[in-house]
Amino acid sequence: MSLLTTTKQSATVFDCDPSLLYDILTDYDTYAEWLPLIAQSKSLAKEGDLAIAEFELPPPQKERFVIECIHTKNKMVLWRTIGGKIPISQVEWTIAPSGEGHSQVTLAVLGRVNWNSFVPRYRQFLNPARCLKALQSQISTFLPEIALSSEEGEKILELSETDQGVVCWIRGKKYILKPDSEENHD
Amino acid sequence: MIKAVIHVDAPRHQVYALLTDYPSYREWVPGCEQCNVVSRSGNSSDTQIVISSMKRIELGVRFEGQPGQSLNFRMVNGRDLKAYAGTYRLMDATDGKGTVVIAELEIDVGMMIPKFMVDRMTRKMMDDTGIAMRKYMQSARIPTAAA
Repeated sequence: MSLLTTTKQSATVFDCDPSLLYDILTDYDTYAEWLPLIAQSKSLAKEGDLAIAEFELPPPQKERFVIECIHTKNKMVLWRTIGGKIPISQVEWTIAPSGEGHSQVTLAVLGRVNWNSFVPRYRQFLNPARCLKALQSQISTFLPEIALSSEEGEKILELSETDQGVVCWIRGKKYILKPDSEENHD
Repeated sequence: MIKAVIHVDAPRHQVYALLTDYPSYREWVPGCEQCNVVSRSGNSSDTQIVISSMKRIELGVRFEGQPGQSLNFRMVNGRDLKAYAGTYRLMDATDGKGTVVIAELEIDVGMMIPKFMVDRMTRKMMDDTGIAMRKYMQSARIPTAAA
């Protein structure tokens, strides 16, 4: 490692198969929904194990940058930044099975030192621990049951469709939702 | 190696046709005064190029293409630069409307100029070329047959 580069790394075990993690990490159109400090994300091109995507940071920076992505199915997602001013040159998500139904993700962020390294917003960008926590939240939208196993998790709302209608539990209280009649629609 | 991504609103075969239409470079590549094809063999072409940028540069460049996929180029003669090489890789845009060109360029000026300055100039040159390519594709009638 040279004096002009930095590496930050963090790892977390997730209660899901590697394939779900891989699907989330290679869906570049949805990164804005979950990765901190990403305002917009868009897949530009995809061919085999190579993809090109564009990210935009939120205001005031609103910096756009393009990444070149190399995938190894269910094992690794590697980004290299192309252009842009962000002080990051490479991001590597490594996925490894960790027992039945569990996977470990290691996130390594290779930074390059430039003037933007001193801007607080850029310094927070792609903080590995924060990103992995955000990934956990994204996974729980696919597998809601795993969100409850988190020590900080709390079930606030649960919806299920039954013979009675749509049953809604809000903080331990049960509500039955029934369709409104057509004439009451606006 | 400096990389740039250029999104062009044209199908891949048209973008490839433009990139391999070497004489047309002087119409759209910023600073290109001349680009003559000296010899051609299959998908390989030797050209003589004159570029006026911070100084006038004359060099022989060999282009080797994989139709519709990529175009490699490298300097084969010239005194003004020590090395000049790169690639254009073409990919279909995910939105189905155009082509994404991944351009790579390495320049060695062979002088005591700091690398970061050369890289900065190279990046600007690539960005300008990307803008010019998009503009030219929009305005010109591009031959559809791949060279």
